[in-house]
Amino acid sequence: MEELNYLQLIKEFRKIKDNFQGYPEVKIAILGDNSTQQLTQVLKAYLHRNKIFVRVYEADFDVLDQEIYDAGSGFYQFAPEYVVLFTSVQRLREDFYRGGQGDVEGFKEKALGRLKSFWDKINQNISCRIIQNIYVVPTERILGNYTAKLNDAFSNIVQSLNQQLKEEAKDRNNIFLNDMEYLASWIGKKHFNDEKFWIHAKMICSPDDLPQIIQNIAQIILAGAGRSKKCLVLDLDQTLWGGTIGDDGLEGIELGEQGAGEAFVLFQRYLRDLKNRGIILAVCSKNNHETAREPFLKHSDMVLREEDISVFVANWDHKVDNIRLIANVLNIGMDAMVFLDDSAFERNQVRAMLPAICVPEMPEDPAQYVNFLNSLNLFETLSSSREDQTRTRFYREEILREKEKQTFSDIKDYLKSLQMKASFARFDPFHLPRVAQLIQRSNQFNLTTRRYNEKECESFMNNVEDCEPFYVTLEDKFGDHGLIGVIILKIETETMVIDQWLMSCRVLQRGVEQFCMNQVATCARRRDCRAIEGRYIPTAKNKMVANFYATFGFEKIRENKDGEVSFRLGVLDYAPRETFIDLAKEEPWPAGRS
Amino acid sequence: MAGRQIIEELNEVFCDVFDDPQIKIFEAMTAKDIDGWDSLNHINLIVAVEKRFRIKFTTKEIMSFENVGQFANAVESKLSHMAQKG
Repeated sequence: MEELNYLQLIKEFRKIKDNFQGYPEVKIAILGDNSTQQLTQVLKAYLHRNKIFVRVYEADFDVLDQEIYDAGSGFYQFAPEYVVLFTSVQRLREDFYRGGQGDVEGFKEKALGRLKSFWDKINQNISCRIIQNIYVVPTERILGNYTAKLNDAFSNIVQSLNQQLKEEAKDRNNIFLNDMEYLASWIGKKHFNDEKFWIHAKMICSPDDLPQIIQNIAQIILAGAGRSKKCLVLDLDQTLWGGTIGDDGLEGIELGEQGAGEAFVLFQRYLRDLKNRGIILAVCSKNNHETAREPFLKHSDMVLREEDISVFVANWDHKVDNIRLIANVLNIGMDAMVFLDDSAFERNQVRAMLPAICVPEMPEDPAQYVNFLNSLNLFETLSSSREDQTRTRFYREEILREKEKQTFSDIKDYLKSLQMKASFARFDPFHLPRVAQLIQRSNQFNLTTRRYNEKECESFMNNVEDCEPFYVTLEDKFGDHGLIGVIILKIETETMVIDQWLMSCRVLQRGVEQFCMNQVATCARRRDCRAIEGRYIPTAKNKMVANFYATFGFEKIRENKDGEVSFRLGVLDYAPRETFIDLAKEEPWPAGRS
Repeated sequence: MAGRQIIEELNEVFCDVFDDPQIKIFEAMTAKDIDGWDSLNHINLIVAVEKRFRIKFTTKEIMSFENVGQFANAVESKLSHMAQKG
């Protein structure tokens, strides 16, 4: 794993001059009530390591109010994609001891109100993501253990303020919390809280701990750039249980509440929680298939069951080949995968052959597995929806589909047999979270890779005049795919511009693209457009759609120096494509939704 | 002035922090003598020295260091203090 050394990162920062590497750029504004210079440097260096070039707007020291309440401020002119509200408990402490002490409830209300009004004001002026600090709960406890009972002790006030802050943030989907309290506890507050650096330089913590804070913030930004991991590939022997199932047999492996086997129960519970939150689990084991399955079917202490695993591969082939196979079946990029294996040999081989996959070192002691995996924070997300919980089921259904496909000689017969139904409907409040999530996650089938957030999607939804924003859902006889596509159309005089077209790779080659293009053409006619225009903006990952518009008969009309290509098609020139998908009736929002 | 070994190690830290292998520290050397020794790098220097020698400066010390000599003496006295305590 990478080393998080403060001075090292500062040195890396000095070497970054301009975006010579052509990395994707992110604009981040940093507004703090403490000194943020070091923070800014480290953030830039850390994201540069992750191949993101940061353009920073760093406000002067402690001028949050001026920047936020002045609609013409430099901060708003900068138009950041992210703003980091780097607020410190030290400032809060100042306010508290300078008059907040008398009225505890009033103090909390005022402190929270200030942040809420920051958020609202920013939202009124620009559309961006707000990263808000959670306060570090101070360690002072004047009367020892008894302090826990004192509502008006500062530490308890901060704790309760944090709780309220989290509640408020829950309902606001462009607020992301930088959980400094968690981080400081995890690092150890004895080390983290170094008043010396506050007194001397108004720094929130020891500079040594800045890289950890930065990592925490950067992980939110990386998740926003679609860099989160989606799938965990697991070895079995000595990873999910102790010993070797092939040699030790069902009774012989270490697994269960007794003895060393408990470590594996704890680890499996953690993995199952991940699965329940939408992380795909796959198995990749050197074993006979039947032997490897046995514990999943018969061992009473197994927490993970076969239905928790999306793809189960156990054979004697190279793991590298098997991981490639898993990536293919799931149709996800190698860089969205994590490989966990206790064997250094396997890890090294996979690392050498598949550089994009994440292969963490594993601790020697299985009792440390949970803590270790947890500490890597690989699965940061900007949102979480009900569909995440059923993702594993999708993939398992997908494998059934693949099997059925093999029984048909003609692809059309197969598609017909799926009895597909799709909806193509205007954004509504119910679907907005999932729309925004798909926009964040989708990399490959994504024509323009514009990462709109939920708030921006909402404004498209409300713009009936110039905007036709659609989501697409699909179901078939094997199950419901849920929301699998987002197409945002903008009407510019007599041209319908396809601003955004992205789809989940789970549903390719079933005619969904054709179905959607038919719908787009219908919409264009309804809005009296003469032509449809599409753009392709190349990224490292979306080559698969470079010819997307050409296959529908669009003509290339221009290409700019960044490789962005524009295509155009006369509405009357479009011949509807044959598909085997029925248009599901739109359920009018909000009827029947709870 | 502090002992030679401390000076040598301190010199390495200076070179590291200011990214300049040519730096040769001396007792009367101040921030004016080194390119880039601003308040920001002063903090970086403190962090690096604390780490290297496994010591902690007091707030007053870091606010009052006027030249390299004082810096080195503080390091030495802290180290000898630690050695006495065992």
